Order: sequence, then C-alpha cells, then structure tokens
Amino acid sequence: MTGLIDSPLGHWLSFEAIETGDGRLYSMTPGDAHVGNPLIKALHGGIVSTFLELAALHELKRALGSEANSSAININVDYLKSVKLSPLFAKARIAKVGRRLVFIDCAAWQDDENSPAAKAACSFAISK
Amino acid sequence: MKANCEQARMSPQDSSDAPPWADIMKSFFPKSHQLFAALNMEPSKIAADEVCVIATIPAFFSCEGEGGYAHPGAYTIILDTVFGFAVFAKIQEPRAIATINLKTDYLRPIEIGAKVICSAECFAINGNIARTRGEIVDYDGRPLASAVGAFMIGSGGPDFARLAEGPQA
Repeated sequence: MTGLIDSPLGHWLSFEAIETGDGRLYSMTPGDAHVGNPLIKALHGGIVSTFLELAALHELKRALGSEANSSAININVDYLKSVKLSPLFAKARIAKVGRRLVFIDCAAWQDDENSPAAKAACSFAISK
Repeated sequence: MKANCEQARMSPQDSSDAPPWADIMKSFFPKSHQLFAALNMEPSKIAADEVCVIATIPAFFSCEGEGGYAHPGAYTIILDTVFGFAVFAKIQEPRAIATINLKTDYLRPIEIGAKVICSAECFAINGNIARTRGEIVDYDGRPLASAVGAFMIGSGGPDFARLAEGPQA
C-alpha cells in the first residue's frame, strides 16, 4: 500500500494518503516543477490528471490488495477551475469492481471540497 | 499524421519551410520551463495543421520502485502540453487557453527513459472552444496513447481569465 507513496512519482508529487472517518483523503503539494502556465502559476493539467489517476490507483490497491495487477485503460478528466500552487486534495470512489474491470471516480479540490477543481473517471483492467 | 511526424523526426524541419511564427512557438519551450525541461520536450514540427514534439520519460515517473514502466500520467502531461501548442499553432497567437477536458486512452506502457513522439492537431474551433486530437508513439512507431481534448480560448473561462488579468484572485 505504501508502494505508490514511496515511489519516485509519489515523492515527486509529494503524494500522501490519509485515512479519515469518511474514506481516504489523498493530497499532493505542488511546487514550481508542476506549473503549466508560469504567467499565472497554474498547475499543469497533466499533473492534475496524474494526481487523480494515482489516487484512483491507490484506491484500487486498497480495495483489491497491493498484489492485484492492474493496467489503466483510459482516463477522462474535466478541469473545472484553474489549480493554484497550494495543496490539492482528492477523494476516490469505486464505481464498480468487476472480475476484470474496475471503474473509479475521483474529484480534486483546494479550498472547498464542495467546489471541485477537477474530476476524473478512470477505468482499469485487472487480473487477480 | 504519423507519417508527417516520422518525417519530421528523420529530418528536422527546414526553417525556410516553417511559418514565420514557428520561432515564436518554439520560444514557448524554453529550458527555464521546469516541467517541459524535465520531460526534455523539443518541438520537431510546428504547423497550423500539426504540432509534433519529442519527449523523454523522466525517471521520477516510476511508480513501482526504481526503473520499470512509467505511470501513464506521463502521457497526459505530454498530450495536454502538445494539445495546447496545437491550439496556439491553429489560432497563430498565444492567447490564454485552458484545458476543459482531456480523454486519454492508454494503449501500451512505456519504460522510463524512453523517447516518444507526440503529434497533435487542433481540428475544429467552434466559438471559443477548440477541439484537439493526437497520439503518442514510440520510436518504432508503435502507438502508446491517443487522446482528445477540448480547450477554452481567451477569456471564456472565468477562473482562468480572472487569474490571467492579475495576481491571484
């Protein structure tokens, strides 16, 4: 479970997973390395997508065990707001775990969980 | 589309063939941009109908210990970037743009350190909404990822526009 957090990508994003009473809260702490548009210091859309996908993958391994083999099929990300250089949070919700497929929805926010900055639908193929 | 990019890779575009604004476009890939530099992104073709960029998957994209395959998020970073430049190339001016959404299909994993080629086009603009599509292939021409994206051009995106006008709103 800690594999993703301790991975080079987890370190690069300062990715963390915190257990809360209401599921798991994921976070990343952006820096200058993650900026897409330097003029407005907005986070790069691909970084937001990567963070959401990493949260989804973490949620998948949490549900199926870290030994589960998964490969990402696709991701569909909606960018609802510009993301500034302050901590980004996410929650992931498993929409379905099938025998061969897993669908996970994620939402990310900065100041207010009810005002998401991005949301993503991720699908994975699994082999147990 | 791929064939053109293959050609661009084999023989970098002659500057005399390039549109006059291509140099301005290339200046958007400065080494001072940390993320673009980290992925070693280099444009190999910039035209209104197609932008091609060569990139290298950096080591920090490993999510299974050192080495191995890259997390597919690397593809979304490259595609989102090149899509943005495809929009600039189409409208031929660097207006503020923002990604509305991005759908990426992951076709094949890629090893850390591999070089990839991303080609993209902005195939439609309706009002201030630009549509893009593109793909990433490896140096053997094998498809790695394909994607479509929608972008807001100019001040349509309220948050983006407000931020673009001045310091943090």
